[in-house]
Formats: sequence, structure tokens, C-alpha cells
Amino acid sequence: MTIKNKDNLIKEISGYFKDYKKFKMLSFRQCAKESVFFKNNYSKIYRLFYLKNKNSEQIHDLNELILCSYFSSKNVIKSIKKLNNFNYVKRKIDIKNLFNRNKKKIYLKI
Amino acid sequence: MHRYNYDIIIVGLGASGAASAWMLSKSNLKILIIEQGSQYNPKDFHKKKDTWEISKLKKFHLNPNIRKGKCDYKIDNKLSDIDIANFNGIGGSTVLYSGHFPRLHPSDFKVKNVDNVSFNWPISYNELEQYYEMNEKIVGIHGLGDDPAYPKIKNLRSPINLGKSGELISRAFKKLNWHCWPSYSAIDLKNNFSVKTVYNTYLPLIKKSKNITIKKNLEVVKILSDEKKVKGVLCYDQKKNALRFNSQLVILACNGIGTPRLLLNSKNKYFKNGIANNSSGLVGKNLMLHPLGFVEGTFNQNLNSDYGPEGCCVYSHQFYETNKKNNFKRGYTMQVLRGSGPLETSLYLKKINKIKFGKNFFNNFFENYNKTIPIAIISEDLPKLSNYVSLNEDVKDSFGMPCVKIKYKVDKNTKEILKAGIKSARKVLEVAGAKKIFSFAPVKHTGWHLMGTAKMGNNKKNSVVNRYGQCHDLKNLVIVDSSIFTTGGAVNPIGTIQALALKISERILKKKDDY
Repeated sequence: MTIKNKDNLIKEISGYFKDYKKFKMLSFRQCAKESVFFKNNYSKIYRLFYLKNKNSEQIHDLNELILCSYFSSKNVIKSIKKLNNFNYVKRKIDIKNLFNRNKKKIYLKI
Repeated sequence: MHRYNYDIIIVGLGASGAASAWMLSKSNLKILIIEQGSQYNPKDFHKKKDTWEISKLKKFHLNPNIRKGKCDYKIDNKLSDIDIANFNGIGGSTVLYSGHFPRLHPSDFKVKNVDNVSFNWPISYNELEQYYEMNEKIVGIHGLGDDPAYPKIKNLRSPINLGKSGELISRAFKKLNWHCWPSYSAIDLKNNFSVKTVYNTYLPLIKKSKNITIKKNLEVVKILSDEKKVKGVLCYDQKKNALRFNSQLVILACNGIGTPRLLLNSKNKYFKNGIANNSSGLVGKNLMLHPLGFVEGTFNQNLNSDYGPEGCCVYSHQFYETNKKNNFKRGYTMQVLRGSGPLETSLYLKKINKIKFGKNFFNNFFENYNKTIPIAIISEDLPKLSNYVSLNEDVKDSFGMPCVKIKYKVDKNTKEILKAGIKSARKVLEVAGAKKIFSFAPVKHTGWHLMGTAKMGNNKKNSVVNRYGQCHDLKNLVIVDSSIFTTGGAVNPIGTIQALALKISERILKKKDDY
């Protein structure tokens, strides 16, 4: 595949993730540079992308390859982690109040 | 052909084989463990890794037909409502499980007495209790004591943090006055919520024993016997060299599909329909899979539901026991799961057309990611003769051994249970404030609890093994995996599998002359 073809493919797929800026995510172009999955699979993606009259299985495969390329990118994963306000560890849940340890047993006694 | 001699051969180094080997390592018996798969590096499949979600789609896929590993055998699911999931290799299916470790209820062992369905187990909850405890101590189970759904459970470590989603749903259960409790979890809190598998529980203990030899990448294709005794096993290595191992006792720990496959393939002039299958003809029959219902609520607020261990955070046994008002017998577990990762979320949304590429992709994505609470319904799955595993002589694995065919239909009782379970889960999610709720059943790819295909019982006419796991037809052939479950209950079977393996193996140590 020529560089021009690859560039065109990336440009076309970038349009799939148009609203990335609004959500502080990366563009497909940025992630394609370092996505190992995309590097390993772009010939397959190219072939499926430009295939005319794709059947449903081919459409599914192409979607899966594009989403895997994007969401397996290290930088994408990093930005998703950054976006999440992971206060999970800090939260203290009042277990005593939530779960009554003196409640009547509900299992059948044999 | 090379011949080797051992006191005991254990076939399979998954959950049951590992527990059995640990118990037997207390003796000075010469033990050989044969595992058809290889050893993988636990770091290769870890939630912390960026490749975690990609690995789940191929190398560590649940379905062996998709994974296509060297040691996987093809499973024909065409006649099954549910696809079989497993993992062949050291650790077995613990490599892929979610670390949820509940026990069966006392009533599960006596369903014939309690509900007049199926058969009673030949053992009781009380007899198994000390082995549940022993196993939970070794594995290190997190949970909260005084659970109203069980008799007292000791030795629990502090419960896993519920997270925002767990807290929200627990409050909803409380509003409904329904049982809800932190899950029994085999999770390593110090290692980024990774699950505790055979690799970090039993395997290091087994490796300390000088009497145990582990041989991997070696497939047992036949159990060798005369009419009264098992003599050993025939194996092939990856270069297709035949090897024979002789032993006084053979223990099978290959799960509810692998064990009947090996028994059926081991037919000889004394056992024309498969070894240990003369008295009952039940080898491979009564397959139980725990059909699963799936209910997912989407909320407005970010629940951080992708953060934390992958498996169940809280569960409910409110509807576990039979209620006479229902049109079904037995019941179900509601397991509240964590949300899925970004890749799985996007693939799932794409599959159900809830996300479109283009100008609103991330808008749709972030409406769902980290904002969902899934609830799995695990239903009781009573044994049926019409649900079975058989050999597929037309398709052979890389060692030349026949693969398997599955015939499995979800029965009426189970369908009714799933219907009721979905209704209950939807109600909880509504009370919790879900803005959208989505549900379906049965989930096709969830045949990961493989039970009943060499069932345990007192009568050799209607069971394959006795209460000690010994085949009725061959006393020195013992089965310790989930194929011996008489019934399946409605909980994940791992804790019961390992407790049974410990119990059966301890008996071998105490009563060597009976084998």
C-alpha cells in the first residue's frame, strides 16, 4: 500500500470519530500513529474499507477492526483513564448501614 | 513407546486438578499431572495491560472455536442454544473466570427431597462445609460475614469495595427489602484487581512438592483398562509421539466437556460405549450449563463502573429457593457486574446499533461508557438426558483425537426462571434510577459452567461415580471436576468444584486400599 493510500484511509476513518475534540479524546489520525493493532491490520482494514457491496459479516469485521485500532491505542486508553474521575478507592461505604448482618436467614435449612 | 510408572496420574491442571494435587502432595505418593495445554504468563492477560481488551477477542477468547489455540479442540455448538466456553492450559478456566466464589445452598444437595425434582446429591452441604472453608482459606476469598443467604461462612477477608455502581444498586435492593450482599470474590487487591487463579493459589504450593511431576503440552487420548481396573493412560506429545504412563490410580480433572470426551474416547473391548459407561450409560448425558439472562441499566450519572475487578460486586439470593407461588421449581442468583471496558462497550454498542460512526460517535459512547450497571441472572439448570456431549468422529484435534458435539436446549423450567429473573432485575434497576433498561436471555456465548456429564450418585444404574468420585465400574478411576455434579444449583461452581476435589482427594489418602 502506498503512503498516499494509507493517508487517505486514515483521513476517511478519522471522519468516523468527528466529535473527539468535544470529549477531549484523540483523533483517529493521532492514534493510528502508535496503535500496534492498526499497524498489524491496516492492509485488512484497507481491503475491507474499499470493498464494494460488503456483506453484513464484512461490515461487522471492518467495524471491529476500526474500533480495536482506536481503543487499543495506548494514548486513547490513557486519555480515557484521565477523563474518568476515579475516586473509587477513596470512597468509604457504610457497609453496616447498607447490609444488615442481623437479618433473618433466607436459605432453606435442611 | 516409552512407558513410565506413577502411583497417581491426574489429568488436567485446572481448578479441580490443582486442588486435588495439593491435597495429595501431603503424601509421599509419586504423582504425575498431565496438562494438554501450556503454561502462560499471567502478566500477558491482566486488566492493567493496554492489550487486555484486545486479548479477550482472540488469544484469550472464551470460545475455543474462536481462540483456536494449539491445544484447543473444536466444539460443535450447532445443536446447542448456548456456546461452550473454556480454557485449555495450566489454570484451566480460572484463567478467564471472573473470580466469583459463592457456595451452593444446603437445599441444592437435596432437591429431590425439597422440590421433588431430579436427584439428591449423595453428599450434604454439611459434609462439604469444611472443604469449602479449607479452599476459601487457600484461595483467599473476600466477602462479608453473617450473610442471610448462607450458614455461617468463616475466614473471609474484607469485602471488595463496591464502587459507586455497587453502592447505588445495593441501596435499590434495600429499598425493595430484597436480599443483597457483597460478593464472595477471589480478587487480588494488591495487584490491580486481578483475579486469583490456579497460578497464584494452588500452583506455587504444588510446585513445592518433590513428589509431583507436571507435564504440559501432552494430550491424554485414552484411559487404559481391563474389565476391573484402570492401568494407566495413553498420551501424545506435540510431535505426535505416543507415550504410555502406568499408574495405580487415575484422576480426571478435565471439566464437564473434557472428561466425558476422554471417557467416551477410551472405549475398549470391556467398555464398548466408553470407559466407566457400562452400568449407567450416562457418560456425557445430563449436561448443565446455567443459562444466563442479561439485564443492563443505563444511568445519567458517571458510575465509574469500568473501574475495579471485572466480576460481580454484589449479588442477591432473594429468589434462590423454590417459592410455591411460582410456575417453576428452584430459583436464580442476580449478580451485579461491573461495566465493561471502552473497547467492549463500543463493540457492543455498535453491534446493537446504539452507536454510529460520524459526528456523534463520542456523544453516544460517553452516554453509555461507565454509566451502566449490568445484572446477570444465573438460573438453576436441572439435568436432562436430552442435553449431552458426544464425540464428533468427523473432526479431530491436532493430536488426532475426536472433537465434541453439544446438544443442549434450554428447558421450560429454566426459561420461566430466566423470565422471572429478568423481571426482578429490571425492577431493581428501575428503583435505582436507570433511564434505560435492556434485557435478553439466554446469552448465547455463556456456556462456561460445564456440569453433570458424569454424575455422582449412590446407584450405579443412574450415576457414573459414587460419593467419593470413584467410577462405579472402575474403582481406581476417580473424577474430581464439575462433570460429577448431580445438580448445578444457581451459582458459579468453582468453590464447589475445588471443595469436592479436596474432599475426594483426602479420602484417597485415608483409604488407599479402596482404589
